[in-house]
Order: sequence, then C-alpha cells, then structure tokens
Amino acid sequence: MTSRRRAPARPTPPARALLDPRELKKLTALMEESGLVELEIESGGERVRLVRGRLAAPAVESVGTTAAPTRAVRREAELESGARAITSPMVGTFHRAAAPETPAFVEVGDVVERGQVLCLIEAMKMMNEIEAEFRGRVAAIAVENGRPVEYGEPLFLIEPL
Amino acid sequence: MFTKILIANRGEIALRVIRACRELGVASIAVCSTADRDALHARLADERVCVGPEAPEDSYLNVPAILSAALSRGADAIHPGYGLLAENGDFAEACERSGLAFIGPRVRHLRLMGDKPRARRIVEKAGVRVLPGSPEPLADLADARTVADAIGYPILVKAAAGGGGRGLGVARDADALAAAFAVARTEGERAFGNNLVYVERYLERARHVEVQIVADRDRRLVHLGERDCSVQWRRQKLVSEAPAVGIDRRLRAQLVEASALAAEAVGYTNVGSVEFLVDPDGGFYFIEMNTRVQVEHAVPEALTGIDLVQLGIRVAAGEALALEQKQVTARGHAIECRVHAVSDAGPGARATVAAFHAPGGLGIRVESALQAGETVALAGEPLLAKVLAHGATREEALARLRAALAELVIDGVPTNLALLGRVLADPELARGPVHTNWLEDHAELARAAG
Repeated sequence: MTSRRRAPARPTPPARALLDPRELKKLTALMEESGLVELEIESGGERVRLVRGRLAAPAVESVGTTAAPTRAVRREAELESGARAITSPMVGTFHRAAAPETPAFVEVGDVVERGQVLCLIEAMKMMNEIEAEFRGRVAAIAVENGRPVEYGEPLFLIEPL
Repeated sequence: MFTKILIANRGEIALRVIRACRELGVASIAVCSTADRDALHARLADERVCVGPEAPEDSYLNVPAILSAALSRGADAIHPGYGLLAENGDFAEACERSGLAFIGPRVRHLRLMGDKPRARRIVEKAGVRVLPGSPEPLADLADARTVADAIGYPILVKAAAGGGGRGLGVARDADALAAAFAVARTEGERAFGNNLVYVERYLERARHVEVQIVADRDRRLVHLGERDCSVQWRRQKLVSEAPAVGIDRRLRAQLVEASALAAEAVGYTNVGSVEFLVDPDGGFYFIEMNTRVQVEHAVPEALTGIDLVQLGIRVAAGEALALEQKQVTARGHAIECRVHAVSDAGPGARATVAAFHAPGGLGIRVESALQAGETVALAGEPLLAKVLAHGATREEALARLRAALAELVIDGVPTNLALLGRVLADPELARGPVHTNWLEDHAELARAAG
C-alpha cells in the first residue's frame, strides 16, 4: 500500500457527530440532489460511507472510526442542497497538499475560485492538479489524504456561490 | 509469490483469476468501467477500481489508468486474462517498466507470435510444417495475386496482426481475391489497428486441433494434450473437446512434438496453445500460437486436474514448474461449449438478463459472470457462459452436456442456446470428427442460428 501521509491535526470548531440522524439526513438529501450514488465522509473521528441503492432511502454503512479527529465539517459550511461534487477524472492517489510539509490546498469552509487547485492526483508518478470548475465554498472533503481514488470518485463537495 | 494481483479484464475470465488468487492466498483487484461497478468481477474481487467510462478504450484498454490503479493500490502483478490487453506487447512492456509483473509470456514472445507471418517463418524454420503462403505481409492486391497464383486456390487472406478467427477472408478463385483481401485488411485495421495482410492456402475440410503447453522460466515445458475446436460458427469456436476424436497415438505424439518445437523456437514461457489444422489424411500445419490463457483452458484442466491459471501465476512469479510430463495424466473426456449473445441489432443494442440459472451436477462446470438484472451490451456477441461436461467416455460427457444445457436458463437476452442444443444432438457430431466448415455447411443446423 501507498504510505499514508496525514495532514497535521488542526484546531477545529466542534462538529456535530456524523452519525447524528439530522446530519445523516442532510447528507442523504445532498446525495439525492447531486445524483451521487456513493459518498464517504470523515468528520470528528468518524467515517461514514453512504451508498444509494435502488430504494429511495440510501443505505448507511459505518466503515469505522479514525484514530484522531483530523478535520471536521464546519458549522457555517453546513451541507445545503445545491452542493456539487468534484469527481476524480483519473485513477491515482489523492494528495491534499503539494508536499507533506506544506499546507493543504483547501480546507472545509474555504471559498475557492474557478480554476483554483483543490488537490493533486498522483498517477504514474505524475502529479495532476485538480481544479475547481466553478466558484464556491468547500462543503466537504470526501477522501482521506494519501488514499487511492478511482475514476469518477467524489473528492470534494462544493456549494456554488 | 505475488501479494496482490490486478486483473485487467471482466466477465468470466476475471472471476476465474479472482478464484485462483483466492486459492493461492493472493489479494485481487478488479478494474471496471462506470457501467460495470456492480458486475460480478467488481463485487467478488478484494478491491475494485473504476478506471474509466464505459467505452473499452477508456476503461479496460486504458493502459495509464490500469497501471495507475495497480500502483496506487500496491499490486505487484497484472493478469490480463484473454482478449483486451492479453496479447499486447506494448502493455506487457509498460507493466514491466512500472515494476509490475505481467502474468503471461515475455514481451518478446507476444511480439514474435503476434506477428503472424513472422511466427509462421520462425516455426517453419524450427521444423514444423506450415501451409503454403506468403512469408511476408503483402504490399498490395497485385502481390497477393502473384502469390495466390503460385500456391493455388482456395486462398485464405489473413490479417498479419490477427488471430482468434478475426481478420480472415476466403477466396475460392482469382475473382474473389480482391474482396477477401479487402475484408482481411479492413477487419485487421479495425480489430488490431494494423492493415497488413498475408495469404495462406485454405483447407476446406480440415480440423482445428490445438495443444496446451506450459513452460517455466528455465524452459521446462510440459504439455496437457490436444483438444479439437472444429465446431465453429463464423470462425468462432463453439465447442471444444478433448481428447480429439480419431487422433491416434502417433499423430498425437507428432502434434505434441511440433508444439514443443514451436514454443521452444522462441523460448516461450507461461501457458499457451499451439494451433494446427489437421487434414483428413493426418497431415498437419501450424497456424498460430495463442500467447495467453485460452477461453478453452477448462478442457485440459478437466482432463488433467491441473489448474492452468494458478500455474500461469506461479510461473510468472518465477517459480519452477513442479510438474513433470509423466505426472500429467488425462482421464475421461471433456466437452465445453460457449454460450454467447446473438444480435443483428446495431452497435448500441442492449438486453437485460431477466433470469439466470447455471446448471450443475456431477461432471459439470460452468464459468460465467452473468447476473439476473444485469444489462448486457450485445455488440460483438459477448460470451455469457461456458458450460463444460466431463465424463468417463465421450458419450457420457455429451449426455451430461446436453442435460446441462437443457437446465441453463438465460432469459431476456437472445443467445445461441438453440443452435448449441441442435449441434450437440446431431448424429454426425456424435459420430465425430467434424471439420471447421461443418456447421456452416450444415443447412438445418445453421438455420437454428437465425
């Protein structure tokens, strides 16, 4: 496996637990709106994967708890309908920062401009910059730093501004 | 041994490799297109990576995406299955450059045997007979005419990068040569991206017999006997069986020896099959070598009990063949048929599998990745299932296969099951052997194929 480089822990505002039914409801509504069939999200040390099946309601599957809280969905960036997913255009490894010691390109709550670099996907030892396709606020970062991603996998949820 | 293998394929062969990996204690990664996320191979592998959109060139033939999937997930080898990238020398080379083992022969074997006129020259030089033909690809139609006049009609025009029954045109006389030449050229360009063609004398009443071999890196070579694949429809094998009916010990020994000569001529390693045409007098001619696990690999597996897919993985991992020729014993008779979709509809035609039931019972083996509810693209008449029957005798194997096909349910997709049923019930086939044009010539049987 690729070695995992985790972003340094940052002070974050208290977040509502992902497994809170209200939070789950918001996430499922967001999936419906955006047409996502699968969403994996990490917050407050919890990781939740939601998979939308043929039934109207998405199935919820908890895929475990991470050791330490690394990032959180900010209160002010509470997920609203209308957020759109930025998906991976290629297969590779997800990097939130240009290098392990440099800050992440974006954090949840940041406003990003069209064309702004959101992350790097490493494929065949090449770093490929993934840019925001529109101006908006980062609502969620769907993938853990250093994790392999597949084609079409949602990386960020961004609310257009 | 490898720790994690990425399988660059889909369908039943991907499942077959996943199974072998599991038995060997090796992790597996399936790749899929956006249309195949719920396909059985994507569900049953230890990991799944979507590598691109539905079009094969964007997903299953997307070399950078496949290599990136293997590298980002920590795979150490790639199994190409058959078809797709299996005989692509450039892909095998790209795997090796990325530090990934290609589970198959060496790059040079793919290149030498993939260039069909060159393979003919190499094998002929090694002392194996080939049909009279053009030693080099032909420049143009005039060149083809000159060679055809010299060797005599009928003539088969073949794509130089072809194989598997594609890129072929038959000319029974000089007038038909232009059309056959054009067919081979166009199909070669379309299917293999190469419009070079060559010609060979065409045998009308020959049988297709091939020999399964496996060789390790130290060139220890073992064969797993011959099989007959003469029941063909539009030059695609429909029924394969072993042992081949009416091939006596002397001829079998000659075929096996010729196969070893062909493989050794290029220093071949891993699993492969050497294909021959056998004429009614017992004369035989090398046609090509398949440098990969074959669709029909379950036939020698049934007879010998040897797992060819596992063996191929072991050889690619550098293990020596822990198998000697005298340990390979064939038991009984095996017959396998290919159940595929049939369609006259356009390239975008699809059908949904309403119901699927695989037969079972003593001596029956079904290899299929079909699932009820799944949508099948009909273009190219894809393989839906392989059904194999093994019995103590040919009669027993045939009876078991007929019974199994009667049990097989594939609702919602047009298939060749009716044709297979008639073929397997045909008295001429029961008497055996038949030649490669038998089914096409057989009016009543052919009608069943629509």
